[in-house]
Amino acid sequence: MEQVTGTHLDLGGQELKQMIRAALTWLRQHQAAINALNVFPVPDGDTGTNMTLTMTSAWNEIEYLTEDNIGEIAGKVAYGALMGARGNSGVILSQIWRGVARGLDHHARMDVQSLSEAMQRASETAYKGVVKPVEGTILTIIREVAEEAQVAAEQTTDVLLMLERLVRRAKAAEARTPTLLPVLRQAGVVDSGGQGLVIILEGMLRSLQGLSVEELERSVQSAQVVDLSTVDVHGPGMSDNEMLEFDANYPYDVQFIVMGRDYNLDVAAIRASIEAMGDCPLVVGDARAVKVHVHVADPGVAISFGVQQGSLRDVVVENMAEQYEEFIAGRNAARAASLGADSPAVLLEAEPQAIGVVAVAVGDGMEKVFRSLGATAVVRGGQTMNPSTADILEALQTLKTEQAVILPNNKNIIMAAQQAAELSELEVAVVPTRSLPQGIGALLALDQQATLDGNVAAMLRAARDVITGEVTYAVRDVALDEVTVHEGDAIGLLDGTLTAAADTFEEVVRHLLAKIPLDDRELVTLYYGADVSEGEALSLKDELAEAYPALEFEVISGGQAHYPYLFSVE
Amino acid sequence: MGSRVRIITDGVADLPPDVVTRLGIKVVPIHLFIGGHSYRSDTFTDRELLYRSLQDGIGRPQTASPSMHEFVTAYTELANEGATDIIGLFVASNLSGLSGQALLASQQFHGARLHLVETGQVSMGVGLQAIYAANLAAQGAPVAEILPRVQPLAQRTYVMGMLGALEHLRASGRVSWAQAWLGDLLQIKPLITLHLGEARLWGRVRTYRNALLRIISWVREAAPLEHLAVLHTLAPPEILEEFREALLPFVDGNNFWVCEAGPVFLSHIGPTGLGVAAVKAVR
Repeated sequence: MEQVTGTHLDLGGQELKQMIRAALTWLRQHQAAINALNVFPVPDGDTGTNMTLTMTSAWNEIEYLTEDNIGEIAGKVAYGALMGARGNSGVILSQIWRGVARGLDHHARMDVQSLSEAMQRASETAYKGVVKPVEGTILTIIREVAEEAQVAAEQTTDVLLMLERLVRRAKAAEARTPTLLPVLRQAGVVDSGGQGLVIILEGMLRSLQGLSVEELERSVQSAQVVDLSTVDVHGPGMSDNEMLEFDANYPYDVQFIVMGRDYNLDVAAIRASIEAMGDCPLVVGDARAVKVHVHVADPGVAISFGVQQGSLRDVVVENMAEQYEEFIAGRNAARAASLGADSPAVLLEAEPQAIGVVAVAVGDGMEKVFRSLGATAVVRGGQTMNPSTADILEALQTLKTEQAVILPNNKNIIMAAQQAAELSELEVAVVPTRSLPQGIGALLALDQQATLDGNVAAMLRAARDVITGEVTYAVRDVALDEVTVHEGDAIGLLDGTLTAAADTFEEVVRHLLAKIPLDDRELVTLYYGADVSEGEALSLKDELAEAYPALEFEVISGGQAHYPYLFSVE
Repeated sequence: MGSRVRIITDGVADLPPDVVTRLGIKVVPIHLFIGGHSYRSDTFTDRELLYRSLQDGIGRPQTASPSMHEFVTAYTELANEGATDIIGLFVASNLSGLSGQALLASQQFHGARLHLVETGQVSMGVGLQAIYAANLAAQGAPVAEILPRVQPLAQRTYVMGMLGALEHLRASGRVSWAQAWLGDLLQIKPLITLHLGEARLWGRVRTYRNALLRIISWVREAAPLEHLAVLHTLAPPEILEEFREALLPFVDGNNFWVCEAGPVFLSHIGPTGLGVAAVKAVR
């Protein structure tokens, strides 16, 4: 039996709140380092950024709370993490918080027993959230932490001592991830999501120990963190996408959170009222707190309504008409024009649809392609900026159908899409498309007359029928899948597998095509990115058409960032 | 001994010439106008000219129904060959005024009775119904027996296939929904069904191979079939052969035809296409 210090027998809600703040700060300091742990040397959905955004959303939920009930605080943290979840690691992190909140539900304070219970629940919930759990990831970390907690709770009554043990165990588990996951060993890195969880636990411990979480020099914050500030602009109603879509009849974007009194909020009733007020309504939450977002003609109406329901927080009113004009006039004028007037808006309403489609896409051209083929809503996002669960949920709320399909078009967005599907009131299915060309293939197979299940099967089949080539540059040195690349090299992936490296992007396209079995294939569609000129793309096409006379080649301006070329072979 | 019941159809039906001869089906030709010249559907052979007119600037081909005189002449020929009853199976009445003119013409002719049957179809969708009726007539069945067996065919007849592009159908003015989610950024080949005169977008594909697989799976679902015809225009021969073989299991070989789409149908659907016409069996 260890000696009881008596100082940390249990913790209250405000202590947890400080720990969350510390975890977030600590995570921000390590964000760039976690981003650098990407297994694939491609500019991919960054784990550090995604987890930081997820934790930021959790913190925003509790920032102003003076509540000292730890179950209450944990519930809010879980809710915030859920809404802000981005990327697979963010989604799993939100599941962990959901488990913690369940473990601490109805506990005013947390002792070693309830901490252990919270960890067990966190581990269970995290595993349940993943279709095929993979060891050597964040899942392994939380499972081992839960195991450690079970033992520790029997041996100490000091929460601080227990947390120290949990962090030590988490670090040991993290160090072992490369032995569990061959892909990590090959890349010579530890798992990035696991590392994020270790940092969060460590930040919480440091808060309890009274250590600073800001002592690291600011220089650690590299470009990744600077990016975050621009990225963060993207609140609901602020994305480029939505600004271009706003309805002139409802120029004000109103957002607020209603805090209920004594669990008295009726979410369904609030949603019905808000929906009646304007456009693009989003009402999510529970009896304690409801987040409202709506485009209205008069923001006063929405806000007065909110005040009648409870106390308001985080009220934001924006004049989208003004923003829109600025936006048009601003540096993105060209892009806005290309998306606005001539995008086939009329077509969107042309036929009544039974099944709405939410597609995640990056690049103006890509967005246009998806819209022209019948996507009802396009959520901006992709490789470097994974949309959150709430972003996707918001897009679902704009649909006028009972059923919907989500095309995540990126492997790192699939889980957030699934989370959004579960939270939505619609009947929603996720077709787990892993690339934009796969998404296009799937969308073409959509049949408005067929059932949702039938469509999902057909769309998945169609997606798998498409071979995807992705050409980008290496963000670091790596030897993976028998290809050795150096930072800055042009590299190519075939259906997600690193396959070729060369000096130029065009050469990579040639290498990739040479590796594809082309029997039965007819059509190659080349989507050139924002940094490639039409002329360059066309001359590459001409050259390929000559080399492969049996194939038909098509060139489309995709406008995607980071990927000079994406192509599909069908 | 010639049958007393004869079948008449039009140049949209795309019946193979040998079938027309064998079953004694009367085909009233349709007029085509290309680049200022007039042609008849039954004697038109210059496919290159047709493709050119569909693809570039010499002007879209125009089509026109037969004249009253041509209908009356056709009826008279049949009557002279001993027909007392003529069953008319023409292009769907909602897509063309042709069957209305056939009826009008019959009022100026008294040598035999004309019985119009609505096909709701085009191309071999009409052709298969005509073959069905002509087979019964060739067996010597009386009109009172043939009509009740031919009239329900429309309900069971489908034309289904892929078009190389939708622009020709759109330009023909024959369908109003022809903007349905085909975009104009990517090359998309629509899959279309026609049933009871109503065209419907059934799917979208980007390659011949996928079109082939989708059509085969449509046929599999539609089976059992009484009659089946492959319809094609400019399809690569190897694809066509594969297609034919894949469809063989679904129909009796005696009721299976491979037809090249005729000039009238082509001028509405464009130069590339692959599909089937099918009459479902009574379940």
